[in-house]
Amino acid sequence: MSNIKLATSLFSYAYEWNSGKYTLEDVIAETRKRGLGTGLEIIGFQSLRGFPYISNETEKEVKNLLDKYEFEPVALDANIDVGIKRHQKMTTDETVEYIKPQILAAQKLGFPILRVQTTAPAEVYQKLVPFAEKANVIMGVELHTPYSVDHPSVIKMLEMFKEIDTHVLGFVPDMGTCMRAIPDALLTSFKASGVTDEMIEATKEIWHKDISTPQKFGELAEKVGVMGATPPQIGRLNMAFSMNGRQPIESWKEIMPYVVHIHGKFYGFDENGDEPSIDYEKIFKVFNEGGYNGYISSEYEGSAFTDEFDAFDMVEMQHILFKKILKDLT
Amino acid sequence: MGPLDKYILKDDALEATKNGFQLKFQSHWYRALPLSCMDFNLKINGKEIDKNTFKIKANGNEYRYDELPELDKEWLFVLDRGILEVEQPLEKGKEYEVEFKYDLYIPYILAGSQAVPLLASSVAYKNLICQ
Repeated sequence: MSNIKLATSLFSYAYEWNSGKYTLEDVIAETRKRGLGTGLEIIGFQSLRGFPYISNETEKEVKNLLDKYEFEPVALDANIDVGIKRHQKMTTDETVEYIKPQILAAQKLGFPILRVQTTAPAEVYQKLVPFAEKANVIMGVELHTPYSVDHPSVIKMLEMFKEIDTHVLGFVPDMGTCMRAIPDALLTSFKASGVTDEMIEATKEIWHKDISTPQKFGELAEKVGVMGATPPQIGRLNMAFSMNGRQPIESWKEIMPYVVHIHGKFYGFDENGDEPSIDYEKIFKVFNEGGYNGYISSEYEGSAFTDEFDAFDMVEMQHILFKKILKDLT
Repeated sequence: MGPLDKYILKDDALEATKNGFQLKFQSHWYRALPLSCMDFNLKINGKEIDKNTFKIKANGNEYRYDELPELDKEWLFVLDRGILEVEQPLEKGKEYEVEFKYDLYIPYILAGSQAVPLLASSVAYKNLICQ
């Protein structure tokens, strides 16, 4: 029996949300109506005007909605915008100060975890430990491709976690880090910009190679350049390398005790309802055996490349798949 | 560059003003970004407008084009529209060919060996009737 619980991240509905046709209540109500988990994840800068500053009115609204539609607040997503001034990066201390109001936002809204990002180094999170402890908010560092467990920044982060005795530091692995294929839906979307089947085949082939991402960019530019690909087309194809990581699923075992939440990234489904690019059966097995008993949030990536599918339908399909996998887990 | 591009210019985006015209635009990213992360190019009927004549408005505040990179506290929420104002008269009721290039420098995704904000660039082409 597994104790892994299901949640939905409102990130999934970016295409619907940006249309302006939905209120926050509409998206949460629809998520409940379709039974898409017991937990909810919200991206502060996506859903809440004025974020990271939370007015008493916003606090009341969010808490009422969670209560009305019976969702457990799982994670609030912060953004670590170190390049906000474009030409000059934030210093360590500026980054610390930038994150503090976002920790307070999670505290005010009752979210136990604040998703943070690898754009800040270990030192920043180390400095924030006393502040986060006081607020009782866990800083969950998202491991999004290319930040797999063997990335130097992640290794440094893990070393720091091990040195400090606190409950407010953890990892949020994103399943786009450990994929088994480039999603067909993503590759198909490239065709709209004139990319040919031949170029797609070359991209797939290079993706499977055990070389660094910059090396892949180089090899791709050379190979598809000969086929007549234009710079914008090469730019689109590069997305296949920057969005889809190839870390082995078993490698998550190395950080298992520090996993506080999981992002269930997905792109699409085959005719059997399986996600051909991400092996969720194996993912659930590895985390279950590792003793993980937190949430996994559905994170539909569609808004980045296609408007062909309804995001609510897509999240529902992922929950059907997850429930089936959970049922079979022993 | 993606499906969210379709929201950049709505049908009522172009509007005549007392001294010229204004263009109302919505972001093509999924989350709010401040004006410091944005850049714009605008062509009307194929003719490029001098950026230094832009006035940029967000949340009721008004700025010059050269102020943009410093505006890291002026957020544009994803469901709100920003405004580019230009002192060049356009005719109300007339259709114009608008080409609006909207660059976003994503502040939490650092790319390349120099680790600079990722450039997400979109171009919206639309024939709009000046309101």
